[in-house]
Amino acid sequence: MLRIIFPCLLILLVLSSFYPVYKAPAPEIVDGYVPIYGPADHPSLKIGAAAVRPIVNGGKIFVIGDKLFQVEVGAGIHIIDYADRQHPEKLGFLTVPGCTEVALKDSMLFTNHYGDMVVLDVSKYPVVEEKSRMLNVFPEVTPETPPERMVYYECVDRSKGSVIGWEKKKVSTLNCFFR
Amino acid sequence: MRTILFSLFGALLLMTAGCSKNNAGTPTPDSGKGGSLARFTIVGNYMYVVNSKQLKAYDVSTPGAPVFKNEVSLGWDIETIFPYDGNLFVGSSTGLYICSLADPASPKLAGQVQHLRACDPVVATGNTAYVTLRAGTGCGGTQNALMVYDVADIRVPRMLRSIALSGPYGLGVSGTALYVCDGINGLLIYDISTREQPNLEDRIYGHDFRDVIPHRGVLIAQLANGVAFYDISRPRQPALLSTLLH
Repeated sequence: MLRIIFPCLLILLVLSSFYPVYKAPAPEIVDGYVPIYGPADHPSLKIGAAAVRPIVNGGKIFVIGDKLFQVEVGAGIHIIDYADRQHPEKLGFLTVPGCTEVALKDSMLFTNHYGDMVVLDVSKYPVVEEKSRMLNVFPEVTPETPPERMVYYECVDRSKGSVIGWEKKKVSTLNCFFR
Repeated sequence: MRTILFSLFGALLLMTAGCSKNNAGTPTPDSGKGGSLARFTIVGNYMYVVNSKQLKAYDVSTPGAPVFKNEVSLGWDIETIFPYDGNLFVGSSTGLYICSLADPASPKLAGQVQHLRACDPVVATGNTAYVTLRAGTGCGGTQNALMVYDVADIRVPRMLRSIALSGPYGLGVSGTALYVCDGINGLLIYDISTREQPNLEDRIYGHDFRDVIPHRGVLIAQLANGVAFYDISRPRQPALLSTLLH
């Protein structure tokens, strides 16, 4: 028996000397997101019409008729009129916390309020009515995950308040990762 | 006669001006269009949504009251959905899935093809599908490329070609033009007169291009800080109309 085990051990020992010692990858500083904290009743946490605002982190777009909708990543949707192709103008903004998606059928706007899919009637904008809500269509998206996937982000610290938004910043890969 | 023509023209102008000032999302015959990076898409009376693992179908014949119909589990890290010719092209970080909409309430997985790990939106035209692969911190992988697939038989998509790029995002097709957003490396314009052999014709610099929607003679480009509009009455020679930045 020993005659079998001993050579095997010897082979293992020789082989293992070729095997590189595992080293954890060095942390890197990469593009990512940092939470912005505020009170739980902050206005940017409510769905509704808001004043025109700058496009800072421009997201996905959807076109219907002469209107163009562009997501402001994690914050809401810009409503743009481009009937005059040479002079497009912003008509307003729709605050939708956690929003990343947009599509329309007639005057019903489909978007995501964090992980829920919501349908908003925008035919009487700036009056905006929530017509329907489907819970957990994107189960992995929560107020505590950044508005983009496959990114590193500064992990949320609840003792600092509610997350009312996200800011694009350099973060270390030692932080949380959103798949 | 002239005065009549002029007043007619004037009336027309007034009418169009009146229409353009309507509220957001006023019903029009136009059913709307999203970009290649979308997770939502509407085809007829159905809305399709992809989360990271599933494709879900909703009946939206009454748009204000969607009704959940069915879901298909497709794997991991699903990112984009693109409708084309009775099928849905679903991009995931490990491959391309094609789902048939023969029954629109119940999409069925019909074919798939694996590729190296990367982020990957899809568009299709004729029997050809174009996929961009973007590598990077989040997306994984090391390959940045434009992939060309033959999808004449959706059950067995075949890779035809792979063209190296810098770090592509979304893409779009209009006629014989294929537009590929290569981030800060510009908007690439390929001649796809020969569908399986995209030929780089031009490159527009100056913005961080993320996605495009070719729509009724206008190319709408999603930029990291706004939008740009190009006249594409000649699809391979986009002419800048305007930008809306910040």
